[in-house]
Amino acid sequence: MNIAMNWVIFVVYCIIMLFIGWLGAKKTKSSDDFYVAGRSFGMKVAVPLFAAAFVSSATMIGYTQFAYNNGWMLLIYYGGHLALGWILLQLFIPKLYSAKTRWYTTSDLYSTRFEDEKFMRPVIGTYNMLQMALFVIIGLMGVGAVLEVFLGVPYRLILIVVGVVFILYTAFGGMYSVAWTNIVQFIFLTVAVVVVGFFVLDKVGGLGAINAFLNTFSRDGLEEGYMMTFTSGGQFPPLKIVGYILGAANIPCLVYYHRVIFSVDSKKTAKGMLALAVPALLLVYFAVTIIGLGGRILLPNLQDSSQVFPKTVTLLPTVLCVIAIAGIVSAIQSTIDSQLLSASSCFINDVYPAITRKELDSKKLLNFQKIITCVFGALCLAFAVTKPAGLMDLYDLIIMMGPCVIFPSLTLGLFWKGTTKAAARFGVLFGAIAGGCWHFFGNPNVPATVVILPISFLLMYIISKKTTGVTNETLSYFFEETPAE
Amino acid sequence: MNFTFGSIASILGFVGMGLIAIILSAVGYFQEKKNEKKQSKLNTSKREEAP
Repeated sequence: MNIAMNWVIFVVYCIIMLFIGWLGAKKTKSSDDFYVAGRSFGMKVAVPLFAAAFVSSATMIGYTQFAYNNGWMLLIYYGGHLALGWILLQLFIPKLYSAKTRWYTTSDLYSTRFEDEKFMRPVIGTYNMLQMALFVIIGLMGVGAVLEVFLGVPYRLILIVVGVVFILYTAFGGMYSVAWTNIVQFIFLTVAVVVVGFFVLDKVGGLGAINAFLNTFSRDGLEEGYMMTFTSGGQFPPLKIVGYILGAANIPCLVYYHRVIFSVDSKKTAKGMLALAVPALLLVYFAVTIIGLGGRILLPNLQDSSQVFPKTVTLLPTVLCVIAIAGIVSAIQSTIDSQLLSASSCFINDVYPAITRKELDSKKLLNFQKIITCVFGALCLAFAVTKPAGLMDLYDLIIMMGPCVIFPSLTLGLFWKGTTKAAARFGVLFGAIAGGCWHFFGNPNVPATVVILPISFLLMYIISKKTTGVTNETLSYFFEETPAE
Repeated sequence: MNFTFGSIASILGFVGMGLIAIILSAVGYFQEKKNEKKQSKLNTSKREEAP
């Protein structure tokens, strides 16, 4: 590994991102531009925007680690979870996109559907804001850990440099910058994983050689060939696998995917973008699996299995190594920029109005958006640098709560006219309380989604039947066959 | 290639579900394209009918 070349690619990468950020800032003339790029994105932008936002540090670091430790079942455990998420998102998209409305965040949708500005806007907004901020912190920690290895500088220093670059282009260019940088980042990350995947296959002698090795491999008392089994030698019982896959209910609830849909130019683009994004994502996740599995042969004695992707990259020839580094950093930044923009958007659009009851004029609003995004970015960076205790526990809690809090009310609200404001409020509160209780006191082998979601759906149905629904005018936004009054 | 049942099931499960997402999206795209054409023809004929 040539550290000097790594620095060259890192500097070039930062310059490209800042240049795109500057272009985005020039194009951003209004708060509508900042939030959703004037709802102007066709397929050429929407596809890489979505695909790059989907691939994060979890993919590059976490999933390769999982494959290294547990084998092919990565593709059904995490892969199945993601694929079910794509299916659910595709089913939700026709309802999430609306040409009649001007939504910027999930709270806008909730407030419209349930005619509930008082509760839904600040509650959903606060939840999404905190969730996105946490994701940004975790993502920044991931990029710092990776670059510390490749650039040979201390974690804190390199994190501050990367953090400032990503905060600047996100804060000043808004959604235009996020989308345009995602196009470049998507190309980098896809090329990187494919290149590294092919390198691994070449080094180990192909898929047949990987499987031949894994068929006889065992460790820590697990049976020989455990990495070739569906349950990784019984470590992941079927209920746990099914429960995790069902946790995909979180994916259609994530505000930064909603904001991609709010930013497209037509229902055709909204409905069609996954048809092009998913094939690329299938390739990425397959390559990531190969890298993890091949790592077992190339790096058999890794102390820290989370290093399998970075350490594999150090084995590459210099040119391929720098491509791979750009790819890893791209994967992480392409997600956290969307998440940072979503966190600040939720604050400005949903939380701030509830606290101050003030409306800013359009000129002041755009400057306010930029400042708040900088402030949020700086706070997330500070947490990532200091790594306070309990962060990962909080992350696990929020990830688990997502489907419990949002999924039932979002699903029933979008697909059943009879869902009432009272039922939706109940669903959100019940999901938060019951989900939290299950997380702390429930059976850790039984995912919360398996228990909480059915109960939530049933109770919301019962409450809806006993309370008053919303107006036909509101329903006409979500159900095309309903005439407005 | 030395694949086992478990590994093939994992691969096919992931790819199969991905294909479902792709098909749903492609069908939705072409459906919407058809709707746009219909709407465009309707708008054109309304403009032609108007005095």
